Amino acid sequence: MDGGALGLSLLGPVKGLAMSRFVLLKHRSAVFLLVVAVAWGGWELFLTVTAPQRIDPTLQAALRAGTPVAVAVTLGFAPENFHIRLFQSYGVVNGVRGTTVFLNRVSPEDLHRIARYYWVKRISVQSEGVR
Amino acid sequence: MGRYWEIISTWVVILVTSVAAWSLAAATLPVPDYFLPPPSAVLSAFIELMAKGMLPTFVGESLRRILLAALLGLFVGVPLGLLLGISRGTADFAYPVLNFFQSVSGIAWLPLMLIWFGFGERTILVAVNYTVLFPVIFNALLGVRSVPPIYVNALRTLGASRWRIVRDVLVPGALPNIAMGVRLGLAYGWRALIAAEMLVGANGLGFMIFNAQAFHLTARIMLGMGIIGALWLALDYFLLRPLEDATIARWGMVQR
Amino acid sequence: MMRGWRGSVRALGRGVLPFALILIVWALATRAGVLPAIFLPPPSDVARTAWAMLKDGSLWINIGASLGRVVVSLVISVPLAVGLGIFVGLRRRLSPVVEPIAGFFNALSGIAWLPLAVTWFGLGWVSVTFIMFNTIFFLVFYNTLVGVRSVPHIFEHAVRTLGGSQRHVIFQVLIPGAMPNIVTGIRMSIGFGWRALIAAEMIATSTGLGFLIYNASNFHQTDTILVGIVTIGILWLLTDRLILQPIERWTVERWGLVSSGR
Repeated sequence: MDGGALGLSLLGPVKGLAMSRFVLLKHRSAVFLLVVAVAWGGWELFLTVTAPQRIDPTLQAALRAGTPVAVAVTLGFAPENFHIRLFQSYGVVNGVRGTTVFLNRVSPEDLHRIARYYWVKRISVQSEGVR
Repeated sequence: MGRYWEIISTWVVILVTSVAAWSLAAATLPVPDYFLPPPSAVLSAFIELMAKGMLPTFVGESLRRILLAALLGLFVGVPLGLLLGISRGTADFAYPVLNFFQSVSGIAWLPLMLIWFGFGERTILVAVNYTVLFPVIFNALLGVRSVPPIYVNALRTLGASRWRIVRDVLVPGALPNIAMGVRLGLAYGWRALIAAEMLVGANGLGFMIFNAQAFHLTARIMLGMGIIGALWLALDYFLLRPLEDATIARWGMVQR
Repeated sequence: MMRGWRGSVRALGRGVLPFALILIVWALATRAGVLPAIFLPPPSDVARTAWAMLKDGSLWINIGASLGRVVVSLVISVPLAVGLGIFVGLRRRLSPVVEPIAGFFNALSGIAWLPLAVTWFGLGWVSVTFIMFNTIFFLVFYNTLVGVRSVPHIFEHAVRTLGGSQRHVIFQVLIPGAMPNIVTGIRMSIGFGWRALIAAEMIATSTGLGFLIYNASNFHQTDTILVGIVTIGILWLLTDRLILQPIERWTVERWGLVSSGR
């Protein structure tokens, strides 16, 4: 790349000193980005791997039919507005009891998405006599 | 070595005294509980919001939005600024326009955006992208215009084509200003993002602290504030400042 | 710039021409009905509303409210920040520790203080002024600190060898040496602060330019919004180019050589 050399040589003696600092500074950014990428990627992988464990076996069977299901999503805590609003994008929220949210008309794809949340404890079929 | 110990011991003293003073104030001041939660409350708010999955979502949403704005600024703003700056005519024309629109932060456009797009993601993105874009374009333009003509002429006497001049002199010469523009644009943009999230909602850190205030969850507010500051520091220290320093170290001489 | 009046007129013309063109395009676009009037009213409507607001004082009240908050914040925070910055900067053991802490609060953008301010002070001008005060204070404090610390020690030693006291060191070496940093800090902080102020006025109070445009959006008064936006832009441009930049340039010319600063 002789064209680049023309521009740089105009900088003359500055070049030597500047190059070493350049590499050092680039190092800090590169390490940062690498750490972020690895951490994020690892986390997403973890979520995907642990997702199926949260779905009840009986529900797994129902999912294979491919039709929307009505589920009870059990969390480890009482859900806040944040969680209700989130679930509303996946289905129709039919009520909350304690730490469980009742969600109707959830498509199987959406259900797998819900299962990926690490704060969801368990997703099961809505048992009879519940709302 | 003695200096390091001095600094570390001063750090420890300051940290311990701040936490102690804070806790003491929180316990003794005659104000309602929600006024000044102790550091322990902020810590438990952190644990709680992590366990409930709310904090990662808030942080993720804010970061996603600022990243989009950064990408737009880099891939649209920089080329646009360079293009405008190359010819004297367009630069003179664009300069006052860019200066004016840069002075009006994206947040000032938010009420208009609310009428156009309503309370949603698009409003936030438009406001933030606008805020980031203008300083980037403006500084890229300034960067190109500030390259001393002698370098351009030097290449011309050697018979370089227009494209060669752009690639070898104008772009490198403008890089320090571009880096500065990106850094400034993102500084404004990050702040505009928090403000926009407060006004529009749609998750995000701004929404988190604004919403927490309505429920007097002051520990969450403080937690959010700490994260907002820490995130900007990380972005600036690890990405933006090295970029600016590197361009100045490598091409800064061209500016003088 | 030693141009004749003809040169100045030409420069002014060049500055105005792009906006004239924008106005023309805007007027044509609204005439052609590209967007419904509720989205973008023609410039004539905006001008008419602006004139009405100027006449009945509503624009002046809001300008006054916003600018008043700027002035109050400046008057209180700058002396405090500079004073504290020098105080801390003098203490060799304290300053390396305080600097990152100040840097952190610097990074904590002004508007992020709003929910806390509202918790403490409720809605109203106090919270909003507090935001701007914070923004200005931390930035100027940090810049003063960095500026003071970056003054080469040799100047301080020189004054002391000549028998100067601590007061001499402060007023004749440190303050002038840190001036470029301080003034740059003040200028930048007003920039950040002004933006934070507008945002805060939208959320937490019922006067000021920010409130004006946000309130107008609730009533779909697009022309009022545009009047407000233009006012905000013009105010900042005027302040920055006519007041702040010249001060900064003058300061750097006068004292820029003393500091090795960043």
